[in-house]
Amino acid sequence: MAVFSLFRPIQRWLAGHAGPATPQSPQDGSSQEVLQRLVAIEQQLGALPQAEGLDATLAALEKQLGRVGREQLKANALVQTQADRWAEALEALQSADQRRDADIVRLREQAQRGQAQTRLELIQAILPAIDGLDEAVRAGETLLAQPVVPAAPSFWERLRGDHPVPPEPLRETMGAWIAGIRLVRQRLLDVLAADGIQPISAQGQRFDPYQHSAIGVVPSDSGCPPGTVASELRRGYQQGERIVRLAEVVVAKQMHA
Amino acid sequence: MIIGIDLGTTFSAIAMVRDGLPVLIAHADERIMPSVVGLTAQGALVVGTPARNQYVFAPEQTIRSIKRQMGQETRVALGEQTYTPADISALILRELKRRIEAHVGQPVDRVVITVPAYFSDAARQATREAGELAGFVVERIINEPTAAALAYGLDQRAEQQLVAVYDLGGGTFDVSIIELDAGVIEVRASHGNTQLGGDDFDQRLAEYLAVGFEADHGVDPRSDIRAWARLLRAAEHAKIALSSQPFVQVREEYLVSQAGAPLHLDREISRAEFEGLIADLVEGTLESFDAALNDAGLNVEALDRIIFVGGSTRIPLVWQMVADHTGIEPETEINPDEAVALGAAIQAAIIAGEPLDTILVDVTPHSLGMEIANWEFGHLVPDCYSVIIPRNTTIPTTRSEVYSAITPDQTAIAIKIYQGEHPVASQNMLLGEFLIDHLRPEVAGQPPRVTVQFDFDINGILHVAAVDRGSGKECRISVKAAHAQLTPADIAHNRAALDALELEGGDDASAGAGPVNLEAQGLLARARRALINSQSDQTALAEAIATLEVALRHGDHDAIETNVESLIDLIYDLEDE
Repeated sequence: MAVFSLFRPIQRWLAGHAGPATPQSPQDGSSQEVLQRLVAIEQQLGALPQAEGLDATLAALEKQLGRVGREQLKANALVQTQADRWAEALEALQSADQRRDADIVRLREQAQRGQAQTRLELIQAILPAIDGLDEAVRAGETLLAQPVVPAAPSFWERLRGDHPVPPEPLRETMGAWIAGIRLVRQRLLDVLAADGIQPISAQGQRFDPYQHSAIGVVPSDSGCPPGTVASELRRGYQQGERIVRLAEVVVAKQMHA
Repeated sequence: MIIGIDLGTTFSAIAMVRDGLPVLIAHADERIMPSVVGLTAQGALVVGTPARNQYVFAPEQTIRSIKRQMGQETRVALGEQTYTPADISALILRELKRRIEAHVGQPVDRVVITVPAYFSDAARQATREAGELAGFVVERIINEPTAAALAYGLDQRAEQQLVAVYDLGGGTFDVSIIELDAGVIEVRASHGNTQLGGDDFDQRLAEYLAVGFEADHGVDPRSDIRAWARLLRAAEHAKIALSSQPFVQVREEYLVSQAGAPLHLDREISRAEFEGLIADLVEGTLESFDAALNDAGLNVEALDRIIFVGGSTRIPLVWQMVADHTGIEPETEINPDEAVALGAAIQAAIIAGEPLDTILVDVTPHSLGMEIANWEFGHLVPDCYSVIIPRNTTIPTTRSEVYSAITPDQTAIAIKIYQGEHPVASQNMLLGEFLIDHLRPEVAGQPPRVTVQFDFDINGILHVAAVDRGSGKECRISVKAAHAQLTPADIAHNRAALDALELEGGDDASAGAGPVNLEAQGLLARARRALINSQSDQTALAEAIATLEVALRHGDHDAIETNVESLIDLIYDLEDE
């Protein structure tokens, strides 16, 4: 476009300076030459098939420049967004880090509580075994309290001259045997005591709903006033203030005839 | 902050939403508190376990199960005074209030309380009054089956659902049919038995043990108060153990004595024996179930889901009988003892506008079992699949079953562990195998029997132990199995997807049905958002969304893939504008 915009004025200027048409004057001749050359160039340029094409190409180039500019804008926006996201991610990681520190502290405490809980569960699992030993001792004592009727020797025994074992040594042996079971029970109670777990004293105590669970009632009497524990069905245990297992008891009650 | 309270007949519980999830609040080793109130001999007020402890000694000073009298124009005596049922419930609620405030360290004034679906207006009003007397602002009274539905996240789904809530607790049984429609929950019908529960199962088993003992030893342990208390307790423990084991050993040493000599109880109870004792009671619950359906004017095919509430629903027989009766697998993912309280907490959070996440449960997404041979019509059919841990069981869990060898002189059994749902064992995924040998029969001439225990731990490792009942020999193996953290909605969805595959006669019960659908669902959500946000008319997009939905419903994999592709293109163009 710039070429043609200059071309016409030069042509007009040359044409205007042509002066009287004296072909001999060298200036005239040279300007005529230039003019002719310009016309020839113009003709040649006009003949060029790419003439309009160049227009179009230039138009296209302008459009491309515009597009590139917009892409650059988009790219910048994208980079900005990414930078923002990185910043957010960094913040998130930092706060996650802080939370992790807090979690570690919490988990440590939880682990300690968990260990204590495990010990308690193990102890609770052993309690039925201690109950069994309690029952064994109780049954043995009941057995020993039975009145003994010495058995008369049978006819054949008398004939053979056998001497049946008198009941007294057997009872002594049994008494000793039960004493041994009591010692075994004590071993287990000592293990519990090491963890601070004590049997709940119930027998003869005033009934306390926080420590005892009433399974049955019996009429009260002089030996066992109303509201006291007459007997213990199952031993209870406590660890300080905490009840590990309630004592199951029979309570004496004022019964109306 | 609003909390939720399950004010039960025998037990009550408090729950609240913390960090988006509902949790039960325990107090002094107790997750649930007995709903009992009393006055001690000294005139002091006791609430909860201490009150229950004194009931046998002082029944005239103790009040239990006051819930049964709520709404009645009656007064109960406690000490010198008389009180309305609402007053007594207020004492229970006040103790619960004290506990939660001690736990959170600040006053808690607002509460949601649950009531049975069958509660009259008077009973509901009495409950509200009790809450106010306790110092609460009662934000809402909701039905127990509704609370259970909330715990399962059923209100999150848009489509209409008909759900049965089967609630078998320690002392009462309730079944309700509820309808959900776009988040609105309505109770259609309710039935039950206020005098049936797990305690009755204990009673049956304890009596069975007593009768057996008397037959063996000639002494009836029921005559001795201590022996009977021990038997009841042993029966309860046995009942719980039999939910995960096929046999349990019941031991009560020195139970009673005869002529001074001690007598011991030492016998094995099988799950089959226990089930025989309670089958008629469970059958009775099914009659209530049908009655409720009848009242709602529905037949069982109309039901979409069944959810289980109450500790006694853990008994395998209950699950099996309900599943057989209805053709629907009851859902048990949420702790049945806690579901109602958790639901109340969720309702509380909704009213308070607090953010809520859906409860996630760790479950086995697939069934776990082993290969066995079954006797069918006189033939031995090999390669059958025996499920030991059913799919969607919450983990960690331990289950065991007993199997017998085929012939009496068999000395070894091959244990092949599979994961999947296909009734033909080898069509499932093999996780591991091992051999247990040197088997000995328990009884000469009978095939040896082996107990196989599947123990699925919290890390997703399945520990399998086979024990020969004859010799006591044990063999073990540990394998890795699939586990997933899913919401109850996902579980139901996956189950439905699998069922749909089975219905279409899909012998290739592949797990591929799940993931594709989740991906497509995500894409659909994005497309719908783009549709809403778009300014211009988007018929093409709307059509594509509809087509994909149809393809998903039919489970047509090819159509789904093609539609997913074209939907992606459309979304891309739209977001590029």
